[in-house]
Amino acid sequence: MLAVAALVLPVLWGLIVHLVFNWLARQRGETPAKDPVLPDYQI
Amino acid sequence: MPADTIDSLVTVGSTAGSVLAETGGSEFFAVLEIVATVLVGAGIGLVSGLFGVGGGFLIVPVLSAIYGFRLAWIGTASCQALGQATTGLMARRLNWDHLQLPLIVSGGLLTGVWFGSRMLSVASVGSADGVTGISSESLVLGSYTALLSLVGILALWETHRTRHGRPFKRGWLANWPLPPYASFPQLNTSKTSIAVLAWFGLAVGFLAGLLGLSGGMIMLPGLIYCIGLGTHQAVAVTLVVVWLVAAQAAAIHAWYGRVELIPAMALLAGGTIGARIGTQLSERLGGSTLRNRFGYLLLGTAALSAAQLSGLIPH
Repeated sequence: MLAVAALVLPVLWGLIVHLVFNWLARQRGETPAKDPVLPDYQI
Repeated sequence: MPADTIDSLVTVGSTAGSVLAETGGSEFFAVLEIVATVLVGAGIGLVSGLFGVGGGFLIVPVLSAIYGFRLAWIGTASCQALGQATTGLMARRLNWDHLQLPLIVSGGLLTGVWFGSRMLSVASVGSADGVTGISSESLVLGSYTALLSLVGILALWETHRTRHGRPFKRGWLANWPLPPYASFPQLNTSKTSIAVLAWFGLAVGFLAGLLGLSGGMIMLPGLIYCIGLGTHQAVAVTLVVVWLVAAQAAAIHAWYGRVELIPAMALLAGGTIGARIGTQLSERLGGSTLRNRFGYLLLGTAALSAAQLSGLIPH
């Protein structure tokens, strides 16, 4: 039971954070999902 | 050597010994221990500045090799990581985009740190009671040996492949088809699995709680190679993550009485000087050379832990 909770709760938390950030982005008049940018792979 | 010189040396030695005994010899050795810890901190800071990682993975094996293994080194390592991450965050101007990814990962991280710390306590109590066959020392040093060897070999393999024009494919973990999904401006994928990010955090948090790591050593290469983040963005995300992990780990270890404040302060004082020198040295070396040297450093530290575990280094 504890192991299942340890696997499920972090995912739920991640989903809540994502939804909150999307909502805040809409409030600020931004598109929630921006165009992808190519990452800088140079170390 | 003349007999009278030997006699005078013996007299001086015995006088110094009696003075130490009267004034508290243990205090003298405590000061020596602090000075040695500052030097260890400077060495770890040097590595931190040189390779861009926290250097927390060195603290437990190195302090254990010098003073013998203590559970308090794990909490002390977390305190040192918290101090370094706080300084790093204050020096960096983070924007809104930097926070979403670390906050999504943080649920798994905090759960993982709790499980790691709990497992250490169970092993500690169990070995003391004779319930479990494995001692906390064997668990920690064994895990260090395995983890450092694995990451060290991977670092050397990666630099070898890059030098031969066959670099690793990046971002393979972020593309797993496991809902729910989120999209991040830092990633070049249209959608990334939240579950994969959360479980990635869970694994990093578990190792951080168990070993007193700040998580940067696993998080930084993990974000670059598994999740596909750019190096500079991965460093920013890692800094936030390290702060979260270190704050929670330091609080939990302090709760269990596994923090020694004076060594932690000594490590931070030495680390500040060492990190500055390391950063200047780092600018003279190329990225591939740095990663290659980092791989050898990890393998060297793994050998140190293995030597302690097998009893080759007395403690």
